[in-house]
Amino acid sequence: MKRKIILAILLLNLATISTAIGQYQYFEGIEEITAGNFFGYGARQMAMGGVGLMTNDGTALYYNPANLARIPRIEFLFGMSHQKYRDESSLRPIRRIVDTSGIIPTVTDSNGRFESFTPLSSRDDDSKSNTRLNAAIISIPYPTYRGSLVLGIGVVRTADFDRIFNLYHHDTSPAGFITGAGNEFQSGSLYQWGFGAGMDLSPKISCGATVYFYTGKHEYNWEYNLDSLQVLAYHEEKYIEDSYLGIGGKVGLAVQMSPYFGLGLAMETPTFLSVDENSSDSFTERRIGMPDTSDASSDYFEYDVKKPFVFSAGLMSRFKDATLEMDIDYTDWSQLAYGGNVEMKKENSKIKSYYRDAFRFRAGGEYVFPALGLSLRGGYFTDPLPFKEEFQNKSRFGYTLGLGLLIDQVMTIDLAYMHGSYSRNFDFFYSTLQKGIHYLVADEDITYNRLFLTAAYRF
Amino acid sequence: MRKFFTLLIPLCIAILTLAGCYTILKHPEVQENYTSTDYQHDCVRCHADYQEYPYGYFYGDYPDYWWSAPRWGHYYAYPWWWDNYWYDQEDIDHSQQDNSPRPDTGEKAVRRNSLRPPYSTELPSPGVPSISPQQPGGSQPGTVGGKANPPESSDDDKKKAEQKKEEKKESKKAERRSGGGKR
Repeated sequence: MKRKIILAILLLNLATISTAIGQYQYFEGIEEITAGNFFGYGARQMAMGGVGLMTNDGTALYYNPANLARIPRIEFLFGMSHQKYRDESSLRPIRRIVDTSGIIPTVTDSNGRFESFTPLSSRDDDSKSNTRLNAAIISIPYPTYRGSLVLGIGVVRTADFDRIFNLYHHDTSPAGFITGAGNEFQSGSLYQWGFGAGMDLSPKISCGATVYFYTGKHEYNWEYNLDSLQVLAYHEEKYIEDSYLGIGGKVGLAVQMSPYFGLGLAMETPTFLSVDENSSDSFTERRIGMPDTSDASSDYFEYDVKKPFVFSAGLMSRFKDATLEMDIDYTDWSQLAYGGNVEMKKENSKIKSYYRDAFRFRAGGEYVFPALGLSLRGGYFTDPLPFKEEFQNKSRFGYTLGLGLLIDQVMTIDLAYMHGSYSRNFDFFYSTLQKGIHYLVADEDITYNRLFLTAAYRF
Repeated sequence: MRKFFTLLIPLCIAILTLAGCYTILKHPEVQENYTSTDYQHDCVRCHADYQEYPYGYFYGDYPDYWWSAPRWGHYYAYPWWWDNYWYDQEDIDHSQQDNSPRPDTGEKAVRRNSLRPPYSTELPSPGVPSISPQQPGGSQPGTVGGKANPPESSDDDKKKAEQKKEEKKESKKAERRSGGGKR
C-alpha cells in the first residue's frame, strides 16, 4: 500500500494549505509497505536468526531452491505463527511553525530536521496480536538413478501487514487547548505461492529455481479527532483496502564444499505486484457559530509495484553435533518503482529520496543431541529498515531462540521465538485557525515478539 | 512483467539444459539377463566409480550423528524409494531367513539400515571399492577403494557386528525388496 507519510489534517481551506506547503518545504515521504517487509517462515530457520540459504527442509523452496535437492523423502511441512506487535509513539515539533499569513514565528526551529525541537507531552501506545498460517509446503523427490530431483509446491506468509499505531498530541495556549488523537489499524498478509525444483549438478553441487505468485490483502483504517481551542471539532475516518496479485522468481545454487562447510547463493528476480485499491474517506467539522460541514468520498484505482533484485549468500559450517550458519541479503530499495498510471509514476522521485539499499544479516547456531532427537537453537539478525538514516531512529534487529524434536524418524516439530525492535519517524502536521500549521515529527518505537511452530512429516 | 519473463525464460532453458549432466532419472536399458542373486554383483562390476560418484543421496558428507544415530540419517538422507514396503514382501522364502539375533544397538533406524543404499550392502571383494559409514567424531575421512571415503565407526565392535550382519544378509538384501518377515 502506498501510504503517505504525512497524515494531513486539513482544517484550513485548501488554498491556504497549498500556499504554505509550497512556500515552506517539508518532507513528504512515501512508504511502500511491502518493501523491507519480511515476516519469516520455518521455525527451524527462524530459531537460528532466519538463516535459510543452506536449509534442508521444504522451506528451501523459498530460501534457496537448490537445497530442495537435499530432501530425500516426500515431505509435508505445515507452520503457524503468532505475533504480538507493540507501538509506542510520541510527537515533537521540529519543523518551523507557519501561521496562516505565512509568518514563521520561531525561525530557529527550522534549522535542520532534528534540531531545536521542544518535546511535547504527547505519548501513546497500543499493541495487537495475530495468529496466522505461516507455511504449508509439499516436497516431492522424484526417484532418481543418480543425483537428485525434487519438486516443491507451497505457500508461505512472506509479508505481514498487522500494525497498530496511536497518536496523541496536546497543546495549550492562553486561549485554550488543542487536543488531537489518531488511531491507525492495519491488518492483512501477503502470501507467496511457490512452484519450484532443485536438482544435483554433481555430488556436491545443486541448483534450483522457483516461480512465485503473490496474493494478499491489506486493510488500512485511520480515525482522527481534533478539538481545537474549544471552538472547533473535527473527525475523520479513512478506510483503504488493497488487493495484491503478483509474480516473481528465485534461482539458487548450493555447494557442499567439504563435510564441514557449505555455501549457498540465491538471486531473487524483481517482483511485480499489481494492486487494486479501494478507499473511502469521510470527515465532519463543527465550528462555533457556523453550520456543520461534512463530506464523504470513495475511490478506486490500480497501480503496480516493482520490487528490486535480492541477492543472497549463506555459509554453513558443521562440526560434530554443532552447526553454525550465516546469511546475508542485499537489496537496493531505491530501485523500488511504481507504475501502472502516471500519478503513481510521479511518486518514484520521492522513492529515490526516501529509500536506500540495505544488507540484511542473520547468524544462528544449532546443537543436536542425537540420542534424544533434540536440537537447541539460537540466532541474531539485523534487518535494517529500507529508509534513509534520517527517517529511522534505531535500526531493526533482534534475537531468536528455539528447539526442535525429531520424532520416530519420520516427523519433526520445531518451535521458535523471535524478539525484534526498531524505531522510526515520519512527518506529521495539523492546522488550526488560530495557530496555523503545526509541523511535527512522530516517533515510533516498535517491538514485536513472534512465535513460530512448524511440523514436518516425511513419508 | 515483460522483463520478468525475459529473464525467466532463459533461466528455465539453462536449468533444463543442465538436467542430465549429473542427475539421471532412469537406469539406461541393458541387455543383460540378470537373476535376483547376481543382480548386485553385476551392478557394482559395471559401476566401478560408484564411490566417487555415488548414486542417490549417498555422498558421505553427512554429519557424523546421522550415521551413529540412524534415525537422523533416515529422516534427512534416506530416499523413500529405497524403503521396503509390504507389497514387496509377498514372495519371500521364509525357510532361508537368517534367525541370528541382531546386535542390540539401541538405534531404531538400524532396521532400515540408515543411510546404506540397498545395493551397497555387500562387503567389498578384492578390487571392488565399498562405502562404510563415517566415524562419529572422526575428523579424518577414510578411503574408498584407495580414494577418500568416510571412516568406520568409532565403536569398532558395534561396527563389526553390523558388518557381520551385513555379510549374512548379503544374498538376502536383494530379497528384501521381495520379502522380510521375521529374522
